[in-house]
Amino acid sequence: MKYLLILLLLSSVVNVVPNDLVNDFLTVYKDVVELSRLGVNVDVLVSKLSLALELLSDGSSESISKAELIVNEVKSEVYRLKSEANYYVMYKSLYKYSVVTLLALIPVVIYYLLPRIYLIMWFRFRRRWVVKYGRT
Amino acid sequence: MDVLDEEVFAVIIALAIVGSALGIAQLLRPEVTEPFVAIGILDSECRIGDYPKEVFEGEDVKLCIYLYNHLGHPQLMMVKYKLGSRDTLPTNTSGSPEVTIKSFKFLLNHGSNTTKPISVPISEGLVGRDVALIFELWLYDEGLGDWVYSGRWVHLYVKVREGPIP
Repeated sequence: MKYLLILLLLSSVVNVVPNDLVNDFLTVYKDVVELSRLGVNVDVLVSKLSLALELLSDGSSESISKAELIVNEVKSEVYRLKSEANYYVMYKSLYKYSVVTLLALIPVVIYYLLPRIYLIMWFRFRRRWVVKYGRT
Repeated sequence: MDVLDEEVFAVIIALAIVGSALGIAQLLRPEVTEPFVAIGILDSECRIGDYPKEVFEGEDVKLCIYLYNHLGHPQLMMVKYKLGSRDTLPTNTSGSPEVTIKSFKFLLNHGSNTTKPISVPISEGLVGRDVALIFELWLYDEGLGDWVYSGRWVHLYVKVREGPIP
């Protein structure tokens, strides 16, 4: 009876983090890493998960409930981001390779246009010039 | 007569090609070329220098742990605290064979660091011995679903004294 009482008292002080919550945390973490590797900004999600990890380490029942709420919140956010990830990756690649193409075209454009523009400017600056006949 | 000098034109084209190549290289290079993680140990006020040389058995030693993530993605990290000796220090490939006494978990984003105060216990039965407080850095491998030793660790030698009489 005495030991049972001690056990009851201990269980009210020391709380064990439920395995389901730990597994949920690890699954969400895995998804966040995946999104990050795709180039999605996950700064906010990482800060939230970091807070959840601190709460889980704390171990009190209140902290565990708060951690659970945060993990669920991040989970729904990850779900939303995952559905948008393909579009985001495509947009990012398109933007990147468009900039690369533009940069690659700069020397070609300069090669063809610079002499012409220079010639136009040369004549424009000298259009009021008058050729005079005279002895030198 | 050429309006634009040929040599000047060649220099302009050369500059444009070099600039363009540099810009493209910057865009196409991987974001992280040398991924790494770092661990550091600091004193109780989270500064370098005033490390304890002597500790009492049963005492909780206050230190700070510094971690940095430069892997290119968020990383779940664990610092394992062990008490060892010169013969049981970790190596670049394997952790110390000593038992883990305490562990601390952190989640760091790429390019970020953290400095956290920690408290580590000194086991009893080590009075008069020079012991190493070992802190190993382990990383969670989401592919394996397990913790993997990073090859990074820090240790601090201290002499264990008998606890003061209360």
